[in-house]
Amino acid sequence: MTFLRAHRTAATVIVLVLVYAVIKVLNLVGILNAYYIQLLMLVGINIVMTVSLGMVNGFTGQFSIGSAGFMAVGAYTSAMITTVWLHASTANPWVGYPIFIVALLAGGLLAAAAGYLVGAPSLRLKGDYLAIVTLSASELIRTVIRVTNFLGGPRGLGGIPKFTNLEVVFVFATVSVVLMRNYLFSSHGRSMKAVRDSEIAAEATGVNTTKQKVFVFVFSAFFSGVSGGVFAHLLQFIHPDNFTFAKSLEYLIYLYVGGSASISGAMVGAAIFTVLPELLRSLQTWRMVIYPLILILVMIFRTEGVMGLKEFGFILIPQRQRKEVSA
Amino acid sequence: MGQFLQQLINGIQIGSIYALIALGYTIVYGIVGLINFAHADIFMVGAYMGFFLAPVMAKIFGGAFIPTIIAAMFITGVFGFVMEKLAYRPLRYKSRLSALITALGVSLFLENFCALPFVFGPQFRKFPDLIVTKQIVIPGNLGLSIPNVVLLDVGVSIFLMVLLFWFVNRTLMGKQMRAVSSDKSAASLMGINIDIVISTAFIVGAALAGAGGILYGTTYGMLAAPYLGIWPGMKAFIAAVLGGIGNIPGAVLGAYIMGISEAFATSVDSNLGFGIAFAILIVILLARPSGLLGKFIPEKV
Amino acid sequence: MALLDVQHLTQFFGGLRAVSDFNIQLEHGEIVGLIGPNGAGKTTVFNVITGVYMPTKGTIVFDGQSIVGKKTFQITQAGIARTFQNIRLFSKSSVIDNVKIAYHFRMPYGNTDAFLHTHKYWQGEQQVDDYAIDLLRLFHLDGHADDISGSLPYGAQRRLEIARALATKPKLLILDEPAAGMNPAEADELMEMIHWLRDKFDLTILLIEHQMRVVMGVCERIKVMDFGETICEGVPEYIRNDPRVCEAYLGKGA
Repeated sequence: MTFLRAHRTAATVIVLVLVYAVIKVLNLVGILNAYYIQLLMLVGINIVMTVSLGMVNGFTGQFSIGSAGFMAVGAYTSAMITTVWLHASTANPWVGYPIFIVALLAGGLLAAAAGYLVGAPSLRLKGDYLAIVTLSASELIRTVIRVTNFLGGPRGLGGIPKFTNLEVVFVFATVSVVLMRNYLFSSHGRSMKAVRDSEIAAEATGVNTTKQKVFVFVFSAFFSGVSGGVFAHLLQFIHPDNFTFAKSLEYLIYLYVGGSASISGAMVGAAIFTVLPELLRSLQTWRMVIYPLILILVMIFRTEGVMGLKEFGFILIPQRQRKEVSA
Repeated sequence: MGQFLQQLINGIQIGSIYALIALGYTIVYGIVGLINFAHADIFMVGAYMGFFLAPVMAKIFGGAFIPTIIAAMFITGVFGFVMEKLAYRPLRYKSRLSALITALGVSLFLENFCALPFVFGPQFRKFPDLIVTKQIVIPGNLGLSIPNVVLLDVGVSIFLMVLLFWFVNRTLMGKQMRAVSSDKSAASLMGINIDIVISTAFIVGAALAGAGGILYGTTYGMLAAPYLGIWPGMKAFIAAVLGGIGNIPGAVLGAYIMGISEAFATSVDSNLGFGIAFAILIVILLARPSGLLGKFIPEKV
Repeated sequence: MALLDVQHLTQFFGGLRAVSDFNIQLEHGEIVGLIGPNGAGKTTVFNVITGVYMPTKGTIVFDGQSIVGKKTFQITQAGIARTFQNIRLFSKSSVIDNVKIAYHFRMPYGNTDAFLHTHKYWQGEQQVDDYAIDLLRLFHLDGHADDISGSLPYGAQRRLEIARALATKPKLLILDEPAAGMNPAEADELMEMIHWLRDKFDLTILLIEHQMRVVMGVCERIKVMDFGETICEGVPEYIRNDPRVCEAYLGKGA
């Protein structure tokens, strides 16, 4: 590794650890109570959901509006594993946490499988069909959960052990964003963006556009699934109504307002909108009226969103030294 | 046999309402290439207009149905016009995706705004009786009788559809609409005022949805919440895709297929009735994405 | 054996016959031109060869294998690259990224390496960066490597599109109106470049062009189309004097 590369990674790690330490200290002295910690954890989860949505909608130029469905698959799968099937509990962390991690991965994998089932046939098609398919799929998943008794059905699924804590979310969010960032800055990431910019030219340049679109869709579903699992083990109770179309739309708003052309945009959007309702307590009933309005205004007046094409420094990867160029 | 006919009639009834909504989707898509997600919510507004206007109309005109539906269509038409002007026109030359996102935003906004207590409110409302309901016995030995509402739904829908066909095929504006639908820039070079044509398309589509809303309220007798447009809207949209999105007769055909399939599926099992719409969507996208009556138009490279 | 062998190609779009019984054989190293009035079917022929459309009738054999029914990206990977009538760059990506994308299907690392930024990833990135910069240098675009490609002047964008096509390491290069929008001086440069491309990269070149100066100056053989049919073919001198060609198509003077 070159010095520059190691340097930047180290700097980012140090900053992350510092941020975490500051939060912990503030928590201990009582400035940030449990409520705020929970809020921060939700920010982390929403960041991962939004960034993964950004991979499909922002960088590959598709229009998927069903992320909540994959989140539900992950949430329910992981919850079933820890509660009903393997009876894990926080009382025994050395056994519990490994099970939790396995449960999360299982949730992610099942969500990825669902993503493949939905994406493979519909991404072949040109046009706006993906939107209606992802919407329908998400609702279908919800309905299936609702009519399935062993998943709790309309009563919901409760008694989920609270494995999710600040450390878990921190690690989860960091790892997820780093993985997706890495992919974005690879040859595959360039191909993704090529599909967005001109699918015809991408095909003519040797890119298997369908395979690329499906792969991104599937891994995005994976991350949504794992997020769902983390979410379930935070709230300890999940219900099909946690994963409605409205939830998918929320992530869309976070993404497009923050800026769909950058990872930083997704992060900013998620952070703003998770925190905003808490700051505007009194306007709670107006929340879902104001949010779409913000979305419409952003689309009309600043289509590229808050961050536009800009990325935060810590997202970018360092440029390697290039051979000398001519003038 | 009686059961079969009964379900068939149910299917045609609901299909008629779906047709009115599907036509709106298909007309707008044909003209500007946009899936107007907010269309389903115009349908909802139409239904609620019936709720609020009926007593007024009854007082002024005596009979409630015809004035109410006309007033509702007028109001929703205006709604469609305003929606296009404010939210979609600024985006006309920006990316397709932005327009789609905005459409979603408009839809969400309408649903939640109308759910606010001082607007329509989230509570259940009983739709006023616009007509005196009675059973009509079908002559013959099948022992069948249908509520007159069925005849109303089918009759009004078909009347409006005929009106639409006349409008699109026999009037100058209709011809202009077909031209813009075919090639927007060429049409404008021929001196057609694109703005007016697009506005008209939205107005017509919205008015039809409004009519659908009134029929829906009359048929089902209740308005559950401002989210009531979502499901019929989705099914109507799938119906439009089934028939070939952008194709007017296709929308009608798709709507009746959807309605009849749904009626038969529900009679077997209510969950099946729910899922049939998705099944149709999956089948049509896999087998013939351009729809039953649609044409595959290759993109110029 | 011909590098490209197209026989009896006919293309219908609904009721419209865009191409009728088109035949062409390209030998390795040739530069062949396809000319004709607008709407004659030239771009359609290109689109069928490159897999954008399925041919209604006819066979297409490239490098010994039939490519009918193959998808565009497979045809590109098999060795046919093309440019477009209206430049289709990845306008939001940088100049060098445009070239790197063309290298993607040859990239030695996979998805896992991409996610984890393994050693293989860093090696692959170094490899493609060096390759891309070297290629850009040949086209005098290396100074703009990190600029957004959409911001380049028109002539540079055209060069980039050609460079990108070459990055796929094709055997056959198909150019769709490469001289569009160029003045005579630029067109002369283009002609030189086409010869150079053929020699340096060991290519066979098929091009559509309207500027007669370029066609006559660069093509060894020319086919003339009109209303989907081939009305004439031969060496430039023959074509220039053929009355059918003049009649079909009052071309720009050479």
